[in-house]
Amino acid sequence: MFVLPQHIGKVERNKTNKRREDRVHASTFMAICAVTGMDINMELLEVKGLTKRYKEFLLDDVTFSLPKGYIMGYVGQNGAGKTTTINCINQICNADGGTVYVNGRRYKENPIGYKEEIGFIGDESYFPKEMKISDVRSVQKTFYKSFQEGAFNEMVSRFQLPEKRRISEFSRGMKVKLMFAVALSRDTKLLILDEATNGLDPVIRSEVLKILQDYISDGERSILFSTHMLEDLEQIADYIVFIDQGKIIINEAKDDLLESYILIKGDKAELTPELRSRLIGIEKKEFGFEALIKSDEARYVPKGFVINNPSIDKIMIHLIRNRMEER
Amino acid sequence: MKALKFLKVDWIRCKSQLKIMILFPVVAVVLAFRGMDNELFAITYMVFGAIVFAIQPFTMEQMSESGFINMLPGTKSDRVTGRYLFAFILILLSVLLGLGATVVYDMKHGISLEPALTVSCIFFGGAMVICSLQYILFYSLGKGKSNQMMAIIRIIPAFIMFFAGNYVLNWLKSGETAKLNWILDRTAELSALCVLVGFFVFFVGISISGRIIEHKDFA
Repeated sequence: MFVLPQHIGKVERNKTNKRREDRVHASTFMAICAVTGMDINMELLEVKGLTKRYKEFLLDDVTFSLPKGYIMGYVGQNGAGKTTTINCINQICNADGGTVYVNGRRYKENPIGYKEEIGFIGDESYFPKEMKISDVRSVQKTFYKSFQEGAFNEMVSRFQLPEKRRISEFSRGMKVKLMFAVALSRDTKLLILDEATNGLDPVIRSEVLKILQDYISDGERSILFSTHMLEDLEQIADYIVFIDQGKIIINEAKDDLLESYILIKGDKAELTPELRSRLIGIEKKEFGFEALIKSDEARYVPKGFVINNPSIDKIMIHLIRNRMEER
Repeated sequence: MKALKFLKVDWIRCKSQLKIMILFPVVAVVLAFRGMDNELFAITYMVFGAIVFAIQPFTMEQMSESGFINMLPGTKSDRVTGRYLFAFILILLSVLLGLGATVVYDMKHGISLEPALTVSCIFFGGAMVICSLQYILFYSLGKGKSNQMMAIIRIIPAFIMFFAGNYVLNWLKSGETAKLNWILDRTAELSALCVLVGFFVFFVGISISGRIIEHKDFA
């Protein structure tokens, strides 16, 4: 089934609201489990104190968790540590410290089971350039019992991927589609996307967002979605984790995050020292300024200023600006 | 056996290059039986080809592939063992093809098969040692190695073994030395020793390579 791009926002909002309700039910359920001592693992991905040191970069004590059935947006500037975190989760890089659990498993305890749970879609094609689709299919069949050849073939045909050409000759869009076909044609629990939708045209992107919604629809699977396309996250993410210079700055449910800030615009000359001290990431505009303020401090905003609900994009920009000013 | 699965991945990746390997037996037979007038040359030439092609998986791999190859369910040790098995199978097939051609030639001309068997064992062991050492070196260098470096590591040991081996064979063929008799009296022991040393270095190579990449990123 194809969803027209103009309908996607509406559909996604409905689904996000539904998941928000589910989240409330889930936390109630977890509270009951905690009280009754029932052992039930609701977290699909748990990252605890992850540390990775490079010469000029430190991924510092990264901790977050992603419950089953949800999408987490992992955002930050270039070089903030998103890909390093993902590489450590995927065990492509060795972390210097911390632990990662995928569906309750640690890599060291069960390396094969751990990797079978993860489907990964990278920012660039990771397929060996000389391979063709038939080679990729053959490798998948060899390694994964849960590989569904029929589903893979169906996706290859739906995405109109050329069977006989080498992957090196594919366009970026084709390579991304092939990565999706590979990741979605077997039974994974966690889908990790590292800037996978960057550079895709709007039609393919909307198709991808639909695929992601379908992926988590059974409530047993989750997605960690690292991206610069914050409007995508606005549509589908349930949680937002914001990383800056290797440190987690924000780790909240998306709706809570959106509700916790308001965007304020106005004439800079009218700013009182008290209000200025409460503003976050003041940005000079041609006719005034724009900044964030915490929602619970909205009472300090006098009349005459324009107040709006910020997008994730705006929240990120002003938070980064604020951190840069603090440094 | 996950290692066999990784062997298959290397095989799939290198299949277009390995097709060129088909030319080697043809050239080996033509040169050995027509050009050089030395039937053992077929074995040495085939082993030369095996050593050169055994490096192929390293020359093809890129850092960007980590998201695919390194995410396949298996341990780093499985991946290393699969790569070593790739070399082992290539060497074994090459020696068997060279030996097969030589045996046919020897039987047709009523020549003893013993030298061919001995040379096969020596070259098999030698190739296993060379490939294992090359693999250790490649794993130490990682995926970001330069093409020139790769070409040097790939070609020089193969040429040394090929030319040195042929030199020794020609020297032995010229005969008349006490050393030759000493060697001819101990061909079985020499063959067994070479094969054993080859396997020993091969297994040690797997272990060392596994340890090298255990703590390496993107390895």
